[in-house]
Amino acid sequence: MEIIKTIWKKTIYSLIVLIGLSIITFSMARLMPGNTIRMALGSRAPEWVVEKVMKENHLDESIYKQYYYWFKNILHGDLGSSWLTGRSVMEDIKKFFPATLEIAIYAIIFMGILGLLSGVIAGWFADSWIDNIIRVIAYMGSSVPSYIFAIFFMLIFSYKLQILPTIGRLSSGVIPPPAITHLITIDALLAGDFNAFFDALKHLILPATALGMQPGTSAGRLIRAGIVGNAGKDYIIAAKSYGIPDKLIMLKYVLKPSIIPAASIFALSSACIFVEAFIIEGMFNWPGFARYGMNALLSKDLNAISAVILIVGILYILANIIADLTVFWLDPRIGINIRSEG
Amino acid sequence: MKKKIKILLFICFITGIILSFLSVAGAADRPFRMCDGWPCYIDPSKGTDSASTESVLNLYDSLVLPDVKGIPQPLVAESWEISNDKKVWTFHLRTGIKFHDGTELTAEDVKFSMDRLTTIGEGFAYLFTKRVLSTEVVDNRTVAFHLNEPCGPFLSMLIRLYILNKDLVMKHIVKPGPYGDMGDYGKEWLNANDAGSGPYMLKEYLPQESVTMVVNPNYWKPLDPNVPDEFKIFNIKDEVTIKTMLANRELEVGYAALTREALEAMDKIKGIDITKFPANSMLYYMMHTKKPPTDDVHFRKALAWGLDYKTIIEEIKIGSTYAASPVPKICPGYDPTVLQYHQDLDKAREELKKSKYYNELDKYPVTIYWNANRAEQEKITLLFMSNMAELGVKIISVKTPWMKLEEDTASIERSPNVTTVEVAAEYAEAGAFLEAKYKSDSAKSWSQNEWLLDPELDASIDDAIGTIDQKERFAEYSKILHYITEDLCPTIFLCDNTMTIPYQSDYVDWPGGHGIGNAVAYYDYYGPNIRIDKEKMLDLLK
Repeated sequence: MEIIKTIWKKTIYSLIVLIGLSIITFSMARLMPGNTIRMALGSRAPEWVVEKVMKENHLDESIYKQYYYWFKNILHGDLGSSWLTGRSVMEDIKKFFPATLEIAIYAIIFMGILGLLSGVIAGWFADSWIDNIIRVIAYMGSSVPSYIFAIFFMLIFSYKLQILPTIGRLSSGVIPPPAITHLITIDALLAGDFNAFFDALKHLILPATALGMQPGTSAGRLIRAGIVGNAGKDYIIAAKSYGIPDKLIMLKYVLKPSIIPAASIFALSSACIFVEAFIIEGMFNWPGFARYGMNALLSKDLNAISAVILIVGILYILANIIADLTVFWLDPRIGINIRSEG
Repeated sequence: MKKKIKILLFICFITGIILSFLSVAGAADRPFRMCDGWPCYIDPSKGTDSASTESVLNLYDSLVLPDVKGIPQPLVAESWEISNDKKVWTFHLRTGIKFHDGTELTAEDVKFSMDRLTTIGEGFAYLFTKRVLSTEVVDNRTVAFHLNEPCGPFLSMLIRLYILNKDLVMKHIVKPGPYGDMGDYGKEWLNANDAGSGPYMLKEYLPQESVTMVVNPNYWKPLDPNVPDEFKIFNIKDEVTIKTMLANRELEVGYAALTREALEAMDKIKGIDITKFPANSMLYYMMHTKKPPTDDVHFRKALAWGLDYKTIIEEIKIGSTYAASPVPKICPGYDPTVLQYHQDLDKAREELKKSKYYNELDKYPVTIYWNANRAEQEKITLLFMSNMAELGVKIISVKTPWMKLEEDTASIERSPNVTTVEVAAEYAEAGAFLEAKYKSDSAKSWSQNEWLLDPELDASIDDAIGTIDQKERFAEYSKILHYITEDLCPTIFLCDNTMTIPYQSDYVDWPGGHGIGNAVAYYDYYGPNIRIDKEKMLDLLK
């Protein structure tokens, strides 16, 4: 119950952080160079049209009043209209967020598998040639940006070998399944459309793998370091002396404490994917949230910018909470410390 | 048992993956797929950018259609006449033109389209808002535009009036809206739907992703059987993606703004060629005529004589051609007798000596803005710095994001001495460039940084545009072009742009592939002018 109280406290603080974030984002978006309305309407639009649109959107009023109108609308669930798409920002988010969520889910799965496998194998064979190879790959992986991996994978699998599709969420001619979750793979499974499921999965392989490489290899390095550090501890030696098999010791006693440092990185990297994905989405013509946010920034689409940054803020807060919960589950001593502080 | 089920599921999963690699997705018979930027508005009253216009000109018809030279030819209008006072243009419409929903196009739709465009005021509206007083439906087949002043290139401007289905749009207006009784004028619905009569119909609009159009089987004009049956515009600008898609035959035409290295790599792919054709646009150095030291005409002429144009044409903007005068050579109204500046350092020094800043060059550096998104502009700026160093002129180079460039050029105080910008003409006449670049009412736009603010020049441009007879009008243009280039020299004309585009030369036949560029921007991608050889395409896919 102490952990629930802690999380509740964090949530309250997070709301304060979000309000602060909204003020900063709101102000900065308006301070950025460029006349928003001019950019939306075109440089040759008549002055009366520009003035009319500015008035309709309260852009002729003080920044405090503009924030007041914006905040009031947010409380009613109205994120305003996007001048770029001509639709409500809420509608845009509903359209584009699931696409990025889908990539993120598969990237996180890949990240987890890559991190765990590489970390465990490297730790198990510590200081051997296997460990050395994995560590070199891990250093390379964690220092190379995701878009470089994307270029590399695209050139190999789409260009040279032609076994994976280049762009989009589905091949042309494949009918999208009925939209329930708006995650095509899940919707396809729910509809029993395995053709669409596998086609969508094929389209996800390259972008998700490219996004998951860097955080996956970083997590792998941390896990390996944790395993090497924990493997020599007294309680492990004691367990070995009792005759407990090495495999069981590794998976049950060594691994759990070793992945604690990686868990925080893992959670924060998961949130980061939603932001970093914009280049990947551009390359793979993925109609995602990150690309939408980048386009909004480049066009100074004020309402879209504020909404995107708020959502990213919420994702980071959620990631922090999940990281805390995961760490607590992995190491219950943290719960005991909280009780004694309480 | 559980283990057996797990193994079975795993086998099914792997089989599914393998089968999905073997399956062939359905495709159009004769697709034409290209890529461009975003946003891509399919509402004719909205964007003027390339992707939007390329979509709209295929989905909608206008009264007239430009030929490759930009000369308007009858399309929806089969004939027209001008009143004696030159202020009323009356158009007689063809019969039997049907919108995509089967209803007939009438004069009422034309009036509605003009009223809608000028009321909303976005997109190409600026061509008409100050000129068209009213639109009159004379009868079902006749529509008249009443202008406030005579306008010689009005017919060329009407290329940009795309005709919407009034009844269909009115069914989808949302009230209340910013346009009174007209609500939102159908803007929300037209974001993702079409109300046109054009050679293509909207099949699918995926925001941020692509626009797909299919050929209109009931188009009123006979179409060649080999025109693309599907026309798709992808939102892709990444070079690796474009190269991969061209190699996999997933794209027929690449993007227009690729680097030299990318083009060379794509040229090596079997079946891909790089075509070059002139674009009705130019790259300019626009010089601020109200800010020292570029407020001195001799100083400006010194810069114009000092630049190494040859290196720009041959090494940096490869494929582009020498420019002379404010309009490209492809543009109707261009005058070849206008002075063409070239690098002549002696002349440059001579002009500099006449300048009032000659003895104080170190106190008056020249600030130049160039677009941060355009790598070639950086190279041109470095070349410019090196050339000017030989004259003793100091250049301060400022890499500028587009938003800042647009914002600063809207203010006479914040505008730099020189701004690097490409300007294209919305209609195919020299008047389009003169209005965009030198008239006072466009001084605050990014297409003009000269700040001439010259009422006499404004009046000359208005008089020229108001001349109905084309020969006389072009003669007026010529005088203005000479005056601007030779007397005022407010602009350095870096080059005439050329579109350099990779495409599938084995099976795509289009005017661009023959080096023919349309004088009206973006009409190079008019579907009925493109041919796809299906058999050759299938051969390449084997």
